[in-house]
Amino acid sequence: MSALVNAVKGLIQHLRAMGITLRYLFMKPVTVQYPEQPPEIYPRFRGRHELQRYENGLEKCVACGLCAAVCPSGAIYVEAAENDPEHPVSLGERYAKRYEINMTRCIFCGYCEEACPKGAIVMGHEFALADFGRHELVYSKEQLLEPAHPHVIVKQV
Amino acid sequence: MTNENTLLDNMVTLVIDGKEVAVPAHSTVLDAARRLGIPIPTLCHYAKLIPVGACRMCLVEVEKMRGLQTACTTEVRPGMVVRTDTPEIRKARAANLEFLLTNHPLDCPVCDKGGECELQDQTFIYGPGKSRFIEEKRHKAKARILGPYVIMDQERCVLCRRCIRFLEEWADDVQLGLFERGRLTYVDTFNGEPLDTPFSGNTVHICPVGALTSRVFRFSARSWELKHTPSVCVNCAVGCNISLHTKYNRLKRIVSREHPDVNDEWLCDRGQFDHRAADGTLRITQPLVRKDGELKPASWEEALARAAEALRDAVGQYGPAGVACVGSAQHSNEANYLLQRLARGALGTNQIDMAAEVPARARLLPTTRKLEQSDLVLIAGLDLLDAAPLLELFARHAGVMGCTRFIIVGTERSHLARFGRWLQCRPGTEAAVINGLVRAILQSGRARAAAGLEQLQAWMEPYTPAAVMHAAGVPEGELLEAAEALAQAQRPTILYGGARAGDAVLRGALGNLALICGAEGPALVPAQANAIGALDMGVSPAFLPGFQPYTDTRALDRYQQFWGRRVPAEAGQGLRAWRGQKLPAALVLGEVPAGLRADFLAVITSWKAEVPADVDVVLPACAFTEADGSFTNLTGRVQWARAALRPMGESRPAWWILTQLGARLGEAGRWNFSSAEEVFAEIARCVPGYEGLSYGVLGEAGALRKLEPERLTVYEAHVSLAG
Repeated sequence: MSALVNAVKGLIQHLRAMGITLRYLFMKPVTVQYPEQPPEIYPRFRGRHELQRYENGLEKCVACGLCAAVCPSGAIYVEAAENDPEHPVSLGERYAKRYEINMTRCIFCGYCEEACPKGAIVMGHEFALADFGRHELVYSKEQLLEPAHPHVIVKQV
Repeated sequence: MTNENTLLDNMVTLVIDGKEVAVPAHSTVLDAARRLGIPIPTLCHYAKLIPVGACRMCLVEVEKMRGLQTACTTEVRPGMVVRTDTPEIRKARAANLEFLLTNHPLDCPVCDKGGECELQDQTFIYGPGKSRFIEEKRHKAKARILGPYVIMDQERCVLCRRCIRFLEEWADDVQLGLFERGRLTYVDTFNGEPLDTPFSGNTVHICPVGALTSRVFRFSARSWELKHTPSVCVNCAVGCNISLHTKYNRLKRIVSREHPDVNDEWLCDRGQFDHRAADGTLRITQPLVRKDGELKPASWEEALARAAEALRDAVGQYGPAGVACVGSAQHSNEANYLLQRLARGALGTNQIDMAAEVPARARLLPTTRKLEQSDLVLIAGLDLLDAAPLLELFARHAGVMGCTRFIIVGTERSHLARFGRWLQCRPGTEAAVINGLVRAILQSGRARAAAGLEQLQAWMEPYTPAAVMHAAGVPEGELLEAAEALAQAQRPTILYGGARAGDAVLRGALGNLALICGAEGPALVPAQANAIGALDMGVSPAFLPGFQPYTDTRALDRYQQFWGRRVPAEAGQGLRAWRGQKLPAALVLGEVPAGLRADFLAVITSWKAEVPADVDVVLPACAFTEADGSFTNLTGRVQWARAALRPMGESRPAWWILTQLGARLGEAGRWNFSSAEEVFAEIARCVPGYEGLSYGVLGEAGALRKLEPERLTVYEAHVSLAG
């Protein structure tokens, strides 16, 4: 008796599972045909860093080194220098003479962005960082100041 | 209460936060709280400066006293009840910080003090967390260059006056002052004169905020990125304790380490801002060998082989007198010890000397703070500021505090003459003036009893005030007044040295004076960092290590055992004799002394400037920042300077270079040191006075070496009295 009940129960479960399979067979696929299609990401996605400028073109970074201090993987190197008051690079007395991020080390935790008192370093939406050599993955200040144009769609939330 | 002993009479018992504590009378509430480990925030208070109570951070509540009191200026009273952590105090502290911050630019991200700022730390602990100040802040000068080493941001200043008080109480060079009033008050130099006192770096050290910062360090690193290596300054014989702050193998700044018997916590600008060792343009970083008449870069192997061969040939051809080894009062004990071992052991010669003239068994100061403990200090023929800047600082402090008077005997006016008198004499007549003083004290009948006093009296007879006036130009009245002061002094100290360290007559004359006044000294202030250590190591034709004469057969036997070689019992010549001849071969550590000429000249040095034109082999040595080494300071304290950086270029520690040379001169099986620590272990075994020392024992504070100084006896000290 109980064997028969079990067999019927099993059959119902199989049919229900098959129903789910059939339902998904006719739904829109979730696979994105990257790179032909841009992926959708959330606004707070943490991609490649970008250094910011003020509207007048001055760099926001003053080379305080807090990003380098907080970085858990030691990926950031900052070297400061004193601004020439006639031709300042940043707002304030000092600017970053060198600012490098080693992308092979970066774990994209976002602490640097959180530590920055000037909002100078922001994690953007670019994530396609593959390259042919490790040296190419050490990003210079000039590279980081260049805004990226990531091939993504930012979800509106 | 009647049977309390005197010690307790001088102690005051009070209660702070419910805890009872007994402190000496005239202590402050702050001292008592710190003794209990109760934290009280302070900004203007500095343990080594007189309290002023300017910052209002240390407010505490004292029962039966109206309002809050400043702990740093309130003297303890018996039965006082103090509270340091009540809601009212917390509110006062937060309000005080909020007020300070209304006028503070809060540019911590660009401030060099960020991370080690007292205002920053206290705001985190006691601050209100929020500011209600929305108005425009006051604006003052930023990045204002005050002097060669100090740059000021007047907006960041909290008007604690530490810098001004340091300049008043220690440097006695008041070059900073307060201008304007109220919110507009600012610190500045007078009439735009530069802040160029030789101790200006200390104002940066004690500034609690980022108002005074170093121009040398400016923006080169953040405080938390720096690696600290304890080391010792090698600019003079005081041997100030320093910490080398480095980042990515680069020297960023030099900061003082506290040592009560050496530099307290101060540094002179010469030491604090001396980054020459890190300047590649000044350094020799590659072995050089003369080939076809020209100096050319070579490998270590080639340079060492060439030097060893030339030294061996010179000894083979001309005997032990064919070579000369020159030690250096600027180099470590390890380098000097190995050089003399190379000379005596491998080359079998006593031909070893150095340019610095240091008397053997010189009497030394027991501590650099001795001047503050003396009521009278006589300085003869010595520019203290030049030879030992920190001693000058302690002397000025003692002078300002009114506990010490000074008598300066010399041709140059000293700042210290402000606190006493300057017996201005003609060049080279210091000994005549001292003899005049000795005679005057003997005449007054107040000389201390000593053996040979009658003899001394007879010797000193010609040095009448009139004769001294004639010879040295010191007015008779001044001489007699100075003699009177010396005779009355309870704890006098006598200093000499600098360029005149080798002047035996002056030293003898000062010895007489010390003998009859019961003075400390005459204490030697050598002009070079390790002059005392180099002589201890036996860098002298006359002495084996520890002032043992080379004729002492027992000492020779001992060293024969230590070194496994015959140690020469034949006399060697010194620099004076070498100057008159051209030697077959010479090996020089450090600077080549003027007048030394040799057919073959090998130099072990760190500096391009020390490489003469006629050199044959240059062996590049590490600077003190790159190699471990010990230095013996002017109190006989052996201190360990640790390597903080990797050797620059191809340079190597001097002990390594000498070990390699030794190996090529047949010492391979006898010494094979692989670290400076091993060399120092041998020094501890072989050098009298250094027994029991090791790098472990030296640690961060160093240790005194124990060598008996000479005993004072009457000395003829004959000087010509021709005018």
